[in-house]
This record gives sequence, structure tokens and C-alpha cells, in this order.
Amino acid sequence: MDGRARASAPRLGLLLGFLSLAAGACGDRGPGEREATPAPPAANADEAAIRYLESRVRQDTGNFVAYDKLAGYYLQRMRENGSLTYLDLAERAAHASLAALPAEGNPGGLAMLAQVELAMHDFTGARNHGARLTELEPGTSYPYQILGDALLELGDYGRAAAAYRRMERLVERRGESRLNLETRLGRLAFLHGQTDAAERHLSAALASALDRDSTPRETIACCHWQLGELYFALGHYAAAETHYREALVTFPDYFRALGALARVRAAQGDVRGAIAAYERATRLVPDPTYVGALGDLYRIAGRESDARAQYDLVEHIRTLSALAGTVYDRQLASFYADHDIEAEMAYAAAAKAYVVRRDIYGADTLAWTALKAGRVEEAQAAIGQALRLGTSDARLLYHAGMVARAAGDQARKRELLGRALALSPAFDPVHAPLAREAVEE
Amino acid sequence: MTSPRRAAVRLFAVALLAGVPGATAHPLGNFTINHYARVEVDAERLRVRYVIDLAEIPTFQEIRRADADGDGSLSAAERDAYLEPVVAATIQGIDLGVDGIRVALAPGTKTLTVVPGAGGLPTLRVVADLAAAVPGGGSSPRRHVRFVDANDRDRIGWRELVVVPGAGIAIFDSSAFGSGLTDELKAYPTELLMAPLNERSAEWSFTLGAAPAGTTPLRTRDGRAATPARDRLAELIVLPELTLPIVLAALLIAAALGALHALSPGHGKTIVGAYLVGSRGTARHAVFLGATVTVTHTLGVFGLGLVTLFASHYIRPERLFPILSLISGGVVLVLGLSLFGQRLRAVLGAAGDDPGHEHDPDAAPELHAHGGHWHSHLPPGGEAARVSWRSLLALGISGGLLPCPSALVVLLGAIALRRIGFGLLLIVAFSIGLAAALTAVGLAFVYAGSLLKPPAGAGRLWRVLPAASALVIACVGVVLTLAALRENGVDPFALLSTPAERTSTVSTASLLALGLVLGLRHALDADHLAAMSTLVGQQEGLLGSSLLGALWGVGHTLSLLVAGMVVMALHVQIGPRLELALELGVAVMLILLGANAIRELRRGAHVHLHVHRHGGGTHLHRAGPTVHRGLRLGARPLAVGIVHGLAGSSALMLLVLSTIPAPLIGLAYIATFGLGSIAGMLGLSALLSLPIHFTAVRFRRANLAVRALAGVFSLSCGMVMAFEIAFGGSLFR
Repeated sequence: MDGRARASAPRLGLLLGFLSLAAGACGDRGPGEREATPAPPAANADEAAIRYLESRVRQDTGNFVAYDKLAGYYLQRMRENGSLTYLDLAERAAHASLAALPAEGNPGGLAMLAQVELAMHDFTGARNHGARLTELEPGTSYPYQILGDALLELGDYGRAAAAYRRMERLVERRGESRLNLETRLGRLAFLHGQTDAAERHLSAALASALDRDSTPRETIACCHWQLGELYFALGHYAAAETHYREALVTFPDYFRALGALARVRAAQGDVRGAIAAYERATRLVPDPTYVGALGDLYRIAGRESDARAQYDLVEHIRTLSALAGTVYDRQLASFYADHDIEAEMAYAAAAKAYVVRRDIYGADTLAWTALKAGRVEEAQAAIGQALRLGTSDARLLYHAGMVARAAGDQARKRELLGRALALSPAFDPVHAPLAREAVEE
Repeated sequence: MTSPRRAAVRLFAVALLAGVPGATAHPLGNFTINHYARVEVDAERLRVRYVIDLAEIPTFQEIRRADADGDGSLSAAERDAYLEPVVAATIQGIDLGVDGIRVALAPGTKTLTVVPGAGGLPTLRVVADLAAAVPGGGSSPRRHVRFVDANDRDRIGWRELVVVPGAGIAIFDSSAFGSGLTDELKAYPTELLMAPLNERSAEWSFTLGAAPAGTTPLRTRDGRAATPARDRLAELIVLPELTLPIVLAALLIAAALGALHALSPGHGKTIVGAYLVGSRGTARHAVFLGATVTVTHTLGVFGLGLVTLFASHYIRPERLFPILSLISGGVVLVLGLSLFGQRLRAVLGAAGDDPGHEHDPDAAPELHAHGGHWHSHLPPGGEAARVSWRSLLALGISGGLLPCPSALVVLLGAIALRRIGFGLLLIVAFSIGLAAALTAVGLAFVYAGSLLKPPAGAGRLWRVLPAASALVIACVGVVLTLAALRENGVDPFALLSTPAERTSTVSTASLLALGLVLGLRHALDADHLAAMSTLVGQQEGLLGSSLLGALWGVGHTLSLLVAGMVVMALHVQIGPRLELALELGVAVMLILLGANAIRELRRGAHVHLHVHRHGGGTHLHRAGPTVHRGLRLGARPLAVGIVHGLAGSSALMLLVLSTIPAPLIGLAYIATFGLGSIAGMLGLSALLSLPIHFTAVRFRRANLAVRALAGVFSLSCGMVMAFEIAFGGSLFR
């Protein structure tokens, strides 16, 4: 454990959720450098493959195999650059594949559809299709992966664990790569507060990824990033930063790694470096979490108008996502709650999302927004649910401490806030100081 | 699926399977910045049209930066202040090289427009016209160009590159395509499964004249060759040697090319023909027309050439072409409309013969009177249709107004090569050839017109011909004007559509075309047939019957328009009961019409015939109370049409309407539907009246029988309908 200030992982679940471990492309630049380089050969190969497949399906609309492959490529692109366009294309490709040949003969198409649903946050659909896939393809591991992922997001941790255990057995029996498995086990372990096991699993995942030559670069970058997130949650900044940099070396402009790097810099006190990294990240993908964090940092740095611009941008994104009917409620609700604005609206959004997606982070968002909206009892019930697995997440504990404070339970407040700050004293540039104040009052 | 294949697919699925993708990876709305570059290659210049399309999120940020006074909108000064650095940075980011030498792009016009995007949130569109001079070539006529766009390298977005050849240039061995896909980022293809384009760099070679053998010509995105056809006229000016025989041969070739060019679409052959057919043109008129075209064309080329040479800083010649097209189209349209007005008035005035002839020997020989009404037996509008020199001049000018680009290239090439005299001769020869062909066409129409005399008894339809030809001219004028408007960047259909539709692939034009066809077909419904058959029996001649049908169509369209407006404005639905009630109304109307027709027959409305002679011929006029209304067609067909329109309001037409978002387009759709129904009914009633018309004069009994049949048909149709509605429909339950 390094002696520097530790920051807590904001909402690790948010970030650990996206284990994109499929084919990727990348180049080899140092982090933070921005000179122009030609597109790397791998990307060109992907591009050529996509164009070829597109021309194939234009001529033959019954070519479900090509549609499946296209859907896979589109999903991969989406994971790399975060653009909705590719998700939409992937969805259309998956539907086209199933239209050409229904699921009974086309499990690949159903698998793609389930993947798309996971990406679109239609977790019930993904769960149902995952279950169907386990029937269609008994003895294979990937349906259990999909099923487990969907169950995890829905908050059904018991069944998710069961699904992952079956996946493990099948992976071992068939001698498949353990990469996907280890990341999921790692996540599960972290959620249950078993941080050492989590570290073991994620390191194994990284090793597995580096082991094979054919692993796509984005996959490797993602493994680095996940490890970085874990270390960040545990307050090991240097280790976290190392992994983020490795991710960026492996896959330049990997927006997740950039955002995470910005966060760790902020936790280390390097406000200017954090701002620079967040600016790059938001340029690539204007994720409200990054945009909001950038606004906070601008405010800390005294750049009020820039901060205002970022907050307005979040508002703008909310309007857009409402129009697109997309599921973005959780992050936006958190943003509003964190900044003490639009409390009722944030609470309504969180409550609505929690109806379907009952994972611990949904409960946490509900609790936090309920607290800000003045509904203390609801907040208490929800935060209890959020802590039910015993996750070592500083932000969760901070929220729980603030709920206890509102409920008047000083002892519990001090205990929870103390644990949060012990885990990572600078988990958030704005809220960590607030937590410290609350402990001392 | 076979087992190995299944396994392969499964393996692939596994291989591509990712873990749970992240919540942060998506649902952000649109955050792309799309780039489009079109490089137009000329011998001395490369012109780049560069378009940047910012989606809602980047627009939000950029507008904030640009809005210096914070009032929420961008003034002209703010736009300019924003555009300067943006265009400068864009130029910095483009690496354009000819034969390995980097050339500098200079900015020209720049515009910034705010375009409404998703949910009315603004998006930005930057358009910049850049130009670079092509450095002097070495020994080889082949030049090589490389274009690399490094702008916004790290942002995702649509990147499109297009290369187009200028006049006389051939592009080959190109890695870019010769056509665009999104109409300069205005309309992205949504129905195809296609990942966004990512064309950031391209290379190609070009040369003046034809592409060398063995090279791959430039292709459009759908695979066709994009290189324009060889410009043979332009090749004449670059002939290496100019001896007298060669010059003479070149002049002949130029004249031949001009004649060939006249035979291609455009240059007003339709107009000339229509005009001369409808009037009593002589050979002199045709020649005059040809001469006008020659002179206008030659002057036009010279004028444009002068502009290009001396005034290209103030006026860009390419901007003139669309304006000239617009003027040309406008002249034709105005001419056609005024002619149509003149001739229609003459037709309607001349129609309606009354019984009883008189001759006034003192009056002009062709004038005589029937029943107190003086008229002549020239084709109606014949007096008005005398060829006026002014109209001919107007026609000739409009035909020659648009100089052929090849001729312009010849002129400019002549000046560059210092062969001005030769160039001028070539242009004059070309124009003479053009005019000769047009004159020949005109003469052909003149002599054809004089060969065809209207057959005896063909009646009024023949007399409508001049007016019809004027209508044709007007229609051509409309088409030309619309096309010219589009060239000028004004899309008339875009005015009717919402922004969302501009990106839709079902064009308004095709929707309206559908309406026209549906209307045509709609006219042929059985109950419409029944009603019209009773009405046409009471009219004389094809013209009257046709116009009856047109009136019906007008009434039908009127009620459809009203109903459509009500539906769209008030969002009312026409319920099933109301619909059935209206159809019952139609049934009742059919019964009444049929009964009335039969009643009139029984009352003894038979055909009166008058025999008389004048002007050396004998002819018959039908007469009788039910017939001699001439073209006073009465309100009956109109009323019938209105009732039919009301009943049909809930049909297919409204079904389609509900899918049309913009009310203005919906009304346009109804209008075209109505036009189609008018046209359909016009034709139909003409057809229906044929048996009546042909039996009217000789076969009286047959005539009565036909009309009785029509009446019975209508009566029974109406009764069956009423029966169905009353007992089949749910009106009375």
C-alpha cells in the first residue's frame, strides 16, 4: 500500500461492468502523446472485413453467417469507440440474422442478439435469450457467460454465481481460454468484498490475455484497465496508474483508460493532469461521468465558467438521451444527486431504473437520490440492500454514512465514513472532503 | 445446419463474445463530427468543397464557444469569427500534394448553418470552398495527386471523400470514388447495413483528354465509370497542326457535333415542335427560329467566355449556368402559360354551336353565324394562334441561352493556345450546326402539320390541340424551371418536407408520384363508372364528355382536400359509421342518377338533327334540349364528384396520409391524387362517351339503348350498394 492519498473507486461496478474482451485493434504510442499516426494494420483488416461482409449481405440477405459476423464486428467497434451508431448496426444485423434463420438453427444469431441486449441494458431480454441459448447449445460455456452477466446486472447474484460456476466447469472440461471466466469471477469476488480473490482472478485474466498472440489489443487493454480499477478501489494509486498507462500503450485513445487515468491523477492531487486527461476522454466519448468530473475539477481549479459549460453539457446529454429513449438514468441520476440539483427528478429516474435492474449499484443510486430528495427511510432501506454483499467500495460506504447521518445515527455514520476514508481517502475530489467534514462534525 | 458449420459459427460466436459491455460505453446521443471533401480536378486548379457536420453534442460545445455575447444565437459576426479559425485549422489539417509537391489551399466562401437535429436540438454545418493551384507540370501530361485529411483524427465520425473531374479531364487509378453517398452530408443512408464511411485519404492520377490505355478509370460508388464521355469538340481546338484542309474538316466536324448536340435532350426541340404544331407556322418561321438560336448561342458562349476571363473574381462562371438555366426555364414557362391562356380562351369561346345558320355575305368569308353567334371554322384559337415573331424570338432565345460547356471549353482553350480565330470559327460552326438541326425539326413539324388536316366530324377534341400544345410547352417550362431551381440549390420539394424527412430515403417526389397513380386508378371504381355513364350520355362530343369527367375529378378532389385538411388539422378520425353513412349517400345518388337518366329517355329526349349547308358543305348538328348546352356543363358532375369524394375519404388515401408527417406534403399528396383522379376520369368519360357519340348521329335507337343501359347500370349499382350497407354494414345495428 503506498503512502500517498488513496482515492476510492467511484462506482467500480460502473466500470467493472464493461469487460469488453473481444477482438480489438490498436497501435503503439506512448500515453499522452498526440501526434498523428496512420491507422494500424489491425484496424484496416477489421475495416476491410466489415466492408466485405456488408457487400455480401447486400447481395444475399439470407446470409445469416455474415450477419452474425457483422454483428460481432459492430459490437467490437462500439466497445472501442463508444458510438451508438455501431450498437444500432449490431442490433439490426442480429435481427437480420435471426430473420434469415430463426434461433433454433442459428444460435450464433441469438448470441449476438443477447450481446446487443446486454449493451443496450435490456438485461431481462439478455437473460431470457441466454437461458434459451443454454438449451440450444448445451455443453457450451458461452451461454452461461451471457446468462451470468445478465443476472449479475439484474441483481440476482446467487443465480449469477451459479451460472458462472457452470461456465467454469464447462471451460475447464473443454479446455477453453479462461480469460472471460476470470474477469467475471474477479468481478463477482469484488462485489462480495473478497478483494484478494478479485486481484487473483483479474491478474489471471490479464496473464491469459497476454499469453496468446491472437488476443486482440483492446482486450488486453481492457484487462489492464480492470486491474487498474481494482487497485484504485483499494487505494493503490501507483499500481492503478501503471495499469491505466499500460492500457493506453496497448490501445491508444482507449477512452475508459483515459477517464480512469484522469481520476487517478485527481486522486493523487494532480489537478492539471487530471483535467488534461478528462478533456481528452470527453473529446472521445462525452460520458456524463467524465464530463461531470471535469466540471468538478474545473471548479476546484477556479475555472467557474468552464465548469458551468460542463454541467450544461450534462444537461444537454440528458435531453438527448431522453429523446433517444436510452437507458442512461443511473449515471445521470448520480450526477444530479452528487451536485444537489434536480433531486426529485433524479430520484424518480433511479426508482424507475431500480424496478428492473436491482443490483447493488442500482440500490445505491436509489439510496443516494432518495437521500437528496429528503426521503430518508427509503434511503435507509435502499442502502441496506446496496451493502448486502459486503462490497468494499468507498463510495458505497460514503453514501451509507451520509444516510446514517441523515437518520441521526452518529455512531453508524462515523463507522461507515471512517471505513470509506480508510479504504481510500480521496475517492472523489468533491465528496471525500465532504465525508471528512461529516466525520468531524 | 450441418454440424461442422454449427461448430464453426459457435466458435466464432465464442471468439467474439465479449463480457458485459459497459454502461458508460453508450446511450449518449450523437457525438460525432462528420467530414466530407469533394475534390474537383481541373487542369490548373484543384477545388475542394469541404463540409463538416457536427452532431448535437459537439454543436452544443461549439455554439457555446462561438456565442461570444451569450445571447443563445449566433450573429453573422459571431459566425465569421468562429469560421475563420476553424477553416484555417481545417486547411492545416489537409495534406494535398501534386506529384509529391505540397500545394497550399486557399479559402474561398465559407458558411455556417445551424440545422435542427434530434428533437429540434441544433446541429452545425460548416461548408468551405477551398482552392489550390496545380503547379506547372513536367514533361509528363499525367499528374498524380495525394489527399490526406488529418482533421479530427481521434474523433469518430463519417468520413467521405469524392473526386470529380472537371471539363476535359480524365481521372484514373483512383482510390477514391467519383460519387458521394450522402449528398454532402445532408442525408445519411439508413436502410443499408453499413458502418460509417471512414475515407480519410486518397490518391489518383489525372490528365487532360482521354485516360491512357491500361489504367482503371474513376468509378462511382455503384461501380459505373465516372469519367465523362470524351469531349470531342474540345479535342478539336487542341489539334496539333492547322492546315487549311484540316481547318475546313474541323469546321465541318464542329457543325456536325452541333447538330448532334441539338438532337440530344434539351435545347427545346419539344418546345419548337409544340409551338409550330399548334400554330400555322411556315418555313420562314422555322428558319427564323433557327437563326435566333444560332445567334443567341454564339453570343452566349462569347459572353460566358469574357466573364470567365475577365470577371472571374466577381462572377464565377459556374454560378452563371444555373442562373441561365433558370431564366431559360422561366421564359419557356411564361411563354407556354400565355399561349395556353390565349388559345384556351379561343377554344371555349368558339365552342357551342347553336342551331340555325345564317350567312352574312358582307362579313369575312370564314365568318358566319349560327343562331346569332358569329364564328369561323378555323381551328379554335386559330386566329389567336397566328405565329407572332415575338414568341418565336422568345423561344429562340430560350433555346440558345444556355451555352454548351464544350463550346466554352473550346473558347477558353482557343485563347490559351492563341488560336482565337480558329476557336471563334469553331464555335460559330457549332452554333450553325445546332441551329440547322433545330430548324430542320421545326420544318418537319410545319410540314407535318400542314399534311394532317383535322378529319371531318372529329369535333372539338381536334380544336383543343393548339391549347394542348401550349400546355405541353408550359409543362416543359415547369420541368426546366424546377430543375434549374435545384441547380441553384433551392430544392422546391425540400420546402415541403420536415428536416427528418430530408434524411429519409422515400422522396417526396416518389410519394407524390404514387398519389398520381393511385388517383388514376381510383377513378376507375365501379360506382364512379356508373355515375359518369349516366352523365356523359347527355353531352355531345368527346370534349364535352372529357370535361365532364374533369369536373367530376375537381369536385372529388375538393372534398378530399377539405376532408384531408379537417383530418390533419383537427386530428379527427372518420369513424366506421360515418363512413358507411357516406357510402349510403353515394348509393342513393347513384339510384337517383339512374332513375333520372331513364326518366329523361322516356320523356322523349331524342336527338334532333339539323341539316344545313353553307360554305359548300353539308353537315349535321345535333340539337335538342338535353344536348345544346354546349360547354355549359352544369353543376351536376361537380356535385357528383363531391359526393364521391366524401365517401371515398376514408379509403386508401387517408391511410397513406396518416404516414405523412408534414401537413403540407399531405395536402400536396391529396392534390396529386386528385390530379390523377381528374386525369383518369377525363379519359374514362371520354371512353364512355364514345359509344354514345358514335351512335348519336346515325343510330338513334342504339343511342337510346346505350343511354338506357347506363341508367339501369347506375340504378342497380346503387341499389346493390344500398342493400349491402343497410344489411351488411353495421349502420343500423
